[in-house]
Amino acid sequence: MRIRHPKDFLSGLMFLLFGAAAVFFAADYDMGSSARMGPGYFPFALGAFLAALGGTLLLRSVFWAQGSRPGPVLHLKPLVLVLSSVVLFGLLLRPLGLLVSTTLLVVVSSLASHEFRWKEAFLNAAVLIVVVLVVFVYLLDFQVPVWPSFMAVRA
Amino acid sequence: MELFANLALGFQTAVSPMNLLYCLVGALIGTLIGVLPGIGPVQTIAILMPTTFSLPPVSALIMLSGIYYGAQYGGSTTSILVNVPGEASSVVTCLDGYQMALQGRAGAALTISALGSFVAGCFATVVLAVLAVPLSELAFKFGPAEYFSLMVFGLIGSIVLASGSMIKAVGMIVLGLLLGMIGTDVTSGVQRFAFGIPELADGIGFVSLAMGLFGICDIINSLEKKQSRDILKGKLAGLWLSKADLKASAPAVLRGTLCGSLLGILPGGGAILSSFTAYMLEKKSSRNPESFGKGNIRGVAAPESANNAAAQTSFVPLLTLGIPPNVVLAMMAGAMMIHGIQPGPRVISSNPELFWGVIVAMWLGNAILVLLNLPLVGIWVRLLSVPFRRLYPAILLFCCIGLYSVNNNTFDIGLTAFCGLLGYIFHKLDCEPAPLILGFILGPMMEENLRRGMLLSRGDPSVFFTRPLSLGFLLAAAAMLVMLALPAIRRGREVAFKEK
Amino acid sequence: MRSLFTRLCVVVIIAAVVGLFGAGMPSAQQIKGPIKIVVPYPAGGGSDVVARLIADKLKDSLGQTVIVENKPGAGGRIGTEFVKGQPADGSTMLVVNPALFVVAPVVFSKLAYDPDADFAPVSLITTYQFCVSVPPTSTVKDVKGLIDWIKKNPNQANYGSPAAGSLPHFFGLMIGKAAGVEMVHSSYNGSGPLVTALIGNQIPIGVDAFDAQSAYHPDKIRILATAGTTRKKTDIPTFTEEGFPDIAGVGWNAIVVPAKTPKAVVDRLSAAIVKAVKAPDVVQKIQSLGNDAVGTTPEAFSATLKKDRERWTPIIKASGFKAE
Repeated sequence: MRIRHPKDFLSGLMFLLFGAAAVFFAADYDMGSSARMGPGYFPFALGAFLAALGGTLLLRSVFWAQGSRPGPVLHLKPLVLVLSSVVLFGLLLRPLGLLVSTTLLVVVSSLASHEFRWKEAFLNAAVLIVVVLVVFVYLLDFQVPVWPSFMAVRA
Repeated sequence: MELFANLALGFQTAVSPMNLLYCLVGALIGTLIGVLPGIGPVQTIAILMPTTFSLPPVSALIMLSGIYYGAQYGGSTTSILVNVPGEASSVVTCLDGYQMALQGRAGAALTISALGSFVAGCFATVVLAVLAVPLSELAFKFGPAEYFSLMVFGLIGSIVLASGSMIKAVGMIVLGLLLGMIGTDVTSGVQRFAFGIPELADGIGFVSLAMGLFGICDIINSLEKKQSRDILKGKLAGLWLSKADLKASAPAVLRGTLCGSLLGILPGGGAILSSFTAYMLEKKSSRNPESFGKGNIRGVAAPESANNAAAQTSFVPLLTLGIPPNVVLAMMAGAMMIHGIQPGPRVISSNPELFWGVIVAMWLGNAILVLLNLPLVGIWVRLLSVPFRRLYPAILLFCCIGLYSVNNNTFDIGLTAFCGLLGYIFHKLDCEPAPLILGFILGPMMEENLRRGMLLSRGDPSVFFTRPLSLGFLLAAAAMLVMLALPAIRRGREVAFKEK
Repeated sequence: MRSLFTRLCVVVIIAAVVGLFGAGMPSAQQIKGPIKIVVPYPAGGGSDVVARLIADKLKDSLGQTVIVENKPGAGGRIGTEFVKGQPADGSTMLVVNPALFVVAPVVFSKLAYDPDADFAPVSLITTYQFCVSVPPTSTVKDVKGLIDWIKKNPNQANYGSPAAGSLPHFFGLMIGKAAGVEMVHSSYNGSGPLVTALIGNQIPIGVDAFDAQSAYHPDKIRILATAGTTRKKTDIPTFTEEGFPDIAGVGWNAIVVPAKTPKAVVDRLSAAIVKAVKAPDVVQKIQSLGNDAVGTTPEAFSATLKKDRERWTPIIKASGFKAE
């Protein structure tokens, strides 16, 4: 047995898993009756439907698909770098402030580009910091911590 | 004519130099902030509302509506240029607008978006002035059965948004519906799928989801391609619309305007559905629907006009009944209350200068916006000539700061990264995110109305079929489903033949 | 420059005073600014408007910058939890209501804050009344008629409230109890949709805050009665006048601070808030929002809180409502 449509197969698997998870968790909530639907009713039904849909897609990709299609090609570097730059920003904004986290975000995400240059990344970070300070902090008066919390005077 | 007397009163109020200035300032600020990726009208108004507290009520409302429209214009700009929709209604603008930008036709996309919005704004203002009171009655015809059937209709229609496999599109809609269930259930007050995380009690924020699935995901995908994405350099010609563009988009603008003016009046789902519906109409009525999603100008013109017309007519329930139909207008209602004006049916009689002044100011705001935006098109397009390697960290940064500002909370930033991961997986599996977004938005409303309908009828499902409006929507949905399924089956066979 | 000089002088004097009477002890007279009033809801809502009105006045009487900060999320619980962890020196206040302090402790099994252990009451600032209303086409004209109608049509006795687990939700149960019928509750997504449904005759009975319904002409929404001790409008009776003294209860907005705030600071804040709430222009603006300006001592607020818990807790428990 060979999977001819790897993308369909994986999509089916994904829908199946999401549907099953929804059914699993929704079972914990009150089902109620169709006259008085509880919070579990609708998500349970949707989850079951999604799982069935996923199952169909999955089986179809194995048994009924004609021809064969290429599977997904993954490049992990940009994915990991871009997402982690965003997560880092979120984690560090409160403790380290806008200046540090902006620099990190810009430099880490820039690493993902195949045209990466250290000097340019830092320059870009500097320019963006100025823009952010002027637009968000000065003009819009956002309540964003600018300095690291240990350096800031309680404002 | 009473109408002219009223409009004259409105002009008198709105055209004072001070109010014109506030209108201009509001439109300008709205545009500028709306352009920042990740900040749509909701956040823009939330951020800027306190600044209007010190103004006289009419000026404050004029400025706020300027911000509202400005932010919407700005939001479309971001959708077209960097594929980050700031709110639900610009999701469909991304589909073709961003493709046009990639083909070097960002100028044309931006121009038609501005012109279409202006035409729609003019038309909807007249609708608002003439029909506000009678139209407001329409909303009362909508009980739970009608809303539920309207949502079903919208969801079935959203299959059109996807260009690939129908079964995957349905799967994405259902997945979107499920994602929409996260958070506090309106009917029972119970928290679902929140796993004890208080930030999830309000559900996944729309901005997080849209930014992850569109903006961040697109950045990652562009980085994967080895060749640089700066294909736009040297291809900036064609800022203005060609004759063919105009010919294709003029009827689309009109259809979108009509569609938006009508749907905007419905509280709740209406304004959101308007741009989706307009897009579906265009794609279904087109002779070559395959060209949609690949940079068809009609796919920008229709939803942008619908979106703006709906934004205008969604004031009908607020001004005539005091019922804010969406979050933005709920904030406007709050602003009115701060100024001691109880929004509602009494506004027309007790503050006629305010009511008509705001209506006229809306039209003025639209006119100012078009004047403001056409010269800006050139500048926005030039923004695209910034090398991608320098542009995308900036997009990420603005997204993150915008997200933080919504709730003063870093949780949303992490959530967006997670949605980016989801978007990446979807992209790799050829699952298109637009239907998911619509499911996500309509899901909670659909469930709420289904449950309310069944509750009030004591479990008798016939309410959905015996009320004429509801039955009409359901029949239309069924017809659409058949229409969608037939060519898909036929195409499936053709492909099968070819491969044999 | 002069203001900077004055401020410098003040700082030096305070520093000296604090130095004399023990460092680190917040002085009874001066509260470290700027003072934040945290509103756990988005800008523009009812409690936000009230907070902004008061903040404006507090600036003058406390001699400090007073800012309103919105920390929305999870029905107000995120902002409440946030304030719990703020410094207890009077520089952070929180606007709360019965949903956060009376209902939440009963319906959440794991609540991230304890209204009594984590917060100290400061002042009850405004109250608002509940009302029951019917669509204009309804045959019901008064409360007695409503009760009769419910008894006769238990199968259509549905009522809408603006949210599940809100006080109007439980208030509606009291009406059902008076009629001896278990009414079916349908919660709407806020007052707007509820009002639309009422005007369009999609639901026969609505229970909501009075100010959310009073803006409509009687030919759109017919308000049968309000729930306070006095009439809100001369032509709308109270439940007590209609012969149902058991159907009662009001909503409120109040200000609290983190629990360990020194009593002297609490009293000073309370006095300043009472003065602000009772300023004529504030009273008038609060009234135009449909609320009543109150302004109480911390003790009086405590008493109200205790009384409200005694009133609502049995009803909430009997309803079986659970949020988790």
